[in-house]
Amino acid sequence: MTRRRWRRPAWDDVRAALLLAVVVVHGFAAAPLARSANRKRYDLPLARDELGRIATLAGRFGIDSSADQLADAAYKVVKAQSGLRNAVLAPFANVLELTGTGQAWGLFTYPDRFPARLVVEGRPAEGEWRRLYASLDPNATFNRDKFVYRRIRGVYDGNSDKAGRAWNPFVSWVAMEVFAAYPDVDEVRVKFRGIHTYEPGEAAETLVESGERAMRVRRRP
Amino acid sequence: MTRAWAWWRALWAGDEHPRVMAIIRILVGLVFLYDLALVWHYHLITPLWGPGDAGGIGDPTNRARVVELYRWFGESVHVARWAFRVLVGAVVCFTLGLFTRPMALLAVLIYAQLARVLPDADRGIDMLLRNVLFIYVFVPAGRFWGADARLFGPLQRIPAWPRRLIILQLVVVYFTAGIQKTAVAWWPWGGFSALYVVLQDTAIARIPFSWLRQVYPVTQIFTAITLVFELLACLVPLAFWYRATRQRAGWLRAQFNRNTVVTRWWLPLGVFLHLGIAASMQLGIFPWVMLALYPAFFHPDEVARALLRVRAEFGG
Repeated sequence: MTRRRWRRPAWDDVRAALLLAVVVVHGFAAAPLARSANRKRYDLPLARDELGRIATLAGRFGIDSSADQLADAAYKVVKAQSGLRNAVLAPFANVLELTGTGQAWGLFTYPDRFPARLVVEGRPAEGEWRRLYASLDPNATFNRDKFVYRRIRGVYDGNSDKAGRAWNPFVSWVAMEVFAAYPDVDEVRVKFRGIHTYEPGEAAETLVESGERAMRVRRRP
Repeated sequence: MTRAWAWWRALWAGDEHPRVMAIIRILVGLVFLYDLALVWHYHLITPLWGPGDAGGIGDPTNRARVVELYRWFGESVHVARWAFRVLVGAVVCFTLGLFTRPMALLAVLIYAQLARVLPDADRGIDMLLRNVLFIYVFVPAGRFWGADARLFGPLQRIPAWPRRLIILQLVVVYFTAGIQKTAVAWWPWGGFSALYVVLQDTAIARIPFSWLRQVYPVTQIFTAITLVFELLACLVPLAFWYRATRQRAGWLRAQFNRNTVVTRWWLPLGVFLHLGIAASMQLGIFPWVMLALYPAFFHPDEVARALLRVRAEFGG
């Protein structure tokens, strides 16, 4: 019996092996697998709109399905996907978290026909509400540069469908900014105005504002 | 197996001149510093990264798992300010090529901490910045056009794998963004309405774009172009492979090399799309970081020839 002698790996082999590990882990992280599953998210206007369109499309090919059926099916697939993703990446989670590295590249994956407009209003103790800021409103531009700055937009954008953890502190910060800039304002309210975007041919107007979401009020301390 | 391993090993072996990695280092560093300057200018250090009782939106100290930054150094607004200062210092050093590798690591670690303080404020482009900075931890890119060259001596050759890894990273960014565009609005059966819809979002659009109704077909064409551009990213590694093995036979290889598909078609389209994004949308540094990484697509020798041409043209 001949015994193969152990050969000290050359640096090229070590480097190739390390890079193989990096490419495999990050390649899996980049795979278009859902990170989490939440059945309630399929009831959001954006999701209902998308599912309705898919159901219509499927109907043209003789496949009868409702938006609810599609949502249930999608949820099952997404739940399995996210479970697989999280299980595979679990051993590397600490390193990825410590370095803040990873792969997640969905840019406008689902164009939102039901976005929201951030609106900031203020009023004196006994006065009328006055619009101080609203996205792209040329008559309400208070703190515009700050509010459109990508990091700040990231904070409130994520709360436009349902107020999350950061929404209340965000509103408090906005209120403090208003109180500092407007000594006459005693009350501030921050909210989203719902928007429905219509494509040409669907409606006479492009944007129709309707409804308010996540309104919060702050009084001057 | 042995052959596949030899191919994989050869893919990451070799060395090259450091000028491209130096250019990317400087460009990425400058864009990053610009973004951090905005944070300072808008007085956002405390709201973004401070503790909740000081006005921090992330309220990082009231969580089940408090980030190490606050666990180790205390729950104070001064910690956020110092973290920001150290981050800026690290990025300045990185850009200047001063102690480049440890500064890249320091920037990655601090930026990762800040990302966890307020995850909503940390965008995909921030993760890409950290990915790229992390690659620089392993490459002496400061020893060309950097202070490290003066301190430790200049280098004329560095490993080629970091630049190739950046190319792969960009390909992954584009291609996975493309294959995830499963919404009907991106496809013919959804009327290619995606770009039109995105540009109506008041939180994203730079100006009101309701007038796009008059030129709707143009937005449809650009929706299709965007999708095709992203999906074609998967051919970029093939194009580079064909270029590296141009001496071999094959009709497809010959076509790729004759038309220099990547540099003549795909990259200019990418530049055009990113400039379009910068002009029409408020996505901050996203298009600029992407463009700052584009030099990776060029071999250092190509860049040297281009620089020589520029010098001959303008420098006499």
